[in-house]
This record gives sequence, structure tokens and C-alpha cells, in this order.
Amino acid sequence: MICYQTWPLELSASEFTVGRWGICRLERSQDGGAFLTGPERERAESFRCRLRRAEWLGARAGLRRMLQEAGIAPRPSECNITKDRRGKPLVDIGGAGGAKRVDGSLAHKDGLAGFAAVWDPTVKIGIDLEAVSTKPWRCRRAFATRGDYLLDSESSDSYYCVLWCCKEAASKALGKGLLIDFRELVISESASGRFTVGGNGRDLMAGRYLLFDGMVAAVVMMSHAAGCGRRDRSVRTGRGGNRGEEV
Amino acid sequence: MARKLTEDDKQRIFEEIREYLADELEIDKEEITRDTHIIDDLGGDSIIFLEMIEEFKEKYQINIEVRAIGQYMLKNPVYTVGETVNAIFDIIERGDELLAGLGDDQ
Repeated sequence: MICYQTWPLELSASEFTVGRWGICRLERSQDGGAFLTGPERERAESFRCRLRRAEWLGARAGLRRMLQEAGIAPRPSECNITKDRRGKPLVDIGGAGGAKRVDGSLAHKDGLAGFAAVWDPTVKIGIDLEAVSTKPWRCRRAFATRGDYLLDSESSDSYYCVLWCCKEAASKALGKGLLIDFRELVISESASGRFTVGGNGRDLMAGRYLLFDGMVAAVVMMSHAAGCGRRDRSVRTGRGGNRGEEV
Repeated sequence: MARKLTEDDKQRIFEEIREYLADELEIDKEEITRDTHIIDDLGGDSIIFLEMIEEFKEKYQINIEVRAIGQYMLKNPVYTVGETVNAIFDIIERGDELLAGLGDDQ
């Protein structure tokens, strides 16, 4: 694991950390050490795309390491990552105290892996990574609306990439994938990199995005309470993060 | 508007999809077969699927929501090029009747 960085996720009403999110890049698919299982390495070996192998393994290694550092999964080998039929990661943590499940999300792009998890059972999470390109602009009619608002100008190269990244992260938090009309998710950036996701006239979710090195990363959290219309339980991501490091 | 595709149409669409993927993912077209996994073998992602769907919707004047296609894909998982090609055939041939008989799964 050559690059690994995480940030806390907090509920603004309480300010305690309910989860974390991060990004990492594996230089080689052999990296990742104790944070990967034998079957995961075997599965990744079947991928013909070298970058995809590094992304797939990097997301799982990063997630396990983050959960270990947070004290949620002290032994990475007891952290089992599977997916439901809609592709949403299921993170089951075993151990002497019995199994528990945390809500997780994984993303990948251009060799970079994104991972996020929340251990508050009332919160769902989604993460997405995109490379800044003209692709989102080309299919903007499928997801962008006039109600969407970013502080960045619509004429900038990154506008539609950020918008798509935020909406896909929101769709993942909802566990919907493509089972959603992305135009019904309305993005509103309130401060630099901080946004809410509205739907049906009310704020449902809140999140944060980062632009770095031609990439966009977005994370969205939805609390069940907020989903029921309680706007006071909005979600914010922490400002502080650990520094990138090499392992 | 639904339509019946001929075998020639289907072959042409298959070639269009191969060319699209080869261009977008910078891969030799000859390496792309029906069994090729778009994400694991080619490094594709969801925006690739979204753009492909939008291009074929425009080209064949199909009026169908992405959400409906998502429902279809839940019943007919799309991972390989062959599965993608079959899904595009269904979308073009069945149009807004795509979900008929699949049941609701929101």
C-alpha cells in the first residue's frame, strides 16, 4: 500500500465520529499484506486489467485498515466483505463479541480506490471516484438538472464530473445503483466541497467532495432520521484528516 | 418506439459497442469479445454504461428512463460485453415495454 489517507465522518448534531472515508492506491497487486484474504487475491488474479486488480484489492485493503485503526475491526482477518445483489458492500465483522455489520461503500477509478464505512446503524454511506473528463458532460441530460448548484461554474471542465460523482455517491448511499432517476437527486453546494442532496423537496443527505490531481472523490451519508424529513440531523464530513503516508 | 432488429442490425450494434469500448478504454478492438468483462477486464465503470445507453437511446430514438434500465439490469445482470449487447438489443426492440413481465423491484 503506497498511498493511504482517511478522513472522519461526523453528524453535525452530535459531532461524534460515525464513520470514516478514504482513498488509497496499491502500487502492485501483491501489496496490501494482512489486509487482504487469499480468496480476494485469487479473484483479483482473474481480472485481465492490471489497474482494476490494484483498485479492487486496494479498496478492500484500505477499508480493512481504516476499520482496524478506528477500533471497529481490530483483526482484519475477521472483517468479511461481500456484496448484496445490487452491488452494495456488506461488511461483517466477527470476533468473540459476535458478528456485527457496518455499512460500507467502495469505489475505483484509474488505479485509485475509495472506501467508506459508518458504524452508526442509523446511517448509510456511498462513495464515488471519477476522473475529470468530458464523459459526464456528454451524458449530462441523464443526470443533471437546472436545480443542481455547485459553487464552481457550469463552464468549468470539472462541473459535470463533480455533479455526477456526488449523485452516484448518493445513489450508492441509497443502495439503488442505476435504479434511480438521477435527475431527482438535486445537489446543492453550501460551502466549498460541502453539499446536500435533495429529493422530493427536502434535504435527504449531505456530503463532501474533493478535487485533486484530475480526480473527484465524493462521499454521501444519509441518516434514517434525515430520510424521514428531520433536517436538523444533517451530516457533515470532518475537516481534519490524517496525512497521506507510505506503508 | 419498439422495433425488430435483423441479424445484420445486431452484428452492426455489436461492432459499434466494441468500437465504443475500444475507443473509450484505449484497448485494441480485437481483444474485446462477448465474454470480456467490462469492469474487471477492461477497467470500465458506471459512466461508461450510462454514456452507452444515452448514445443508443438518441440514435434509436428510444424514450426510456435510466431507472427503468436499472430495473431491467437487476433482473438481467450486465457484466460482460455479450450481456451488454443483449441488453442494448432488448432496449431497442422493446423500448418502453422493456419492463413488461419483469415485475416491479424498486
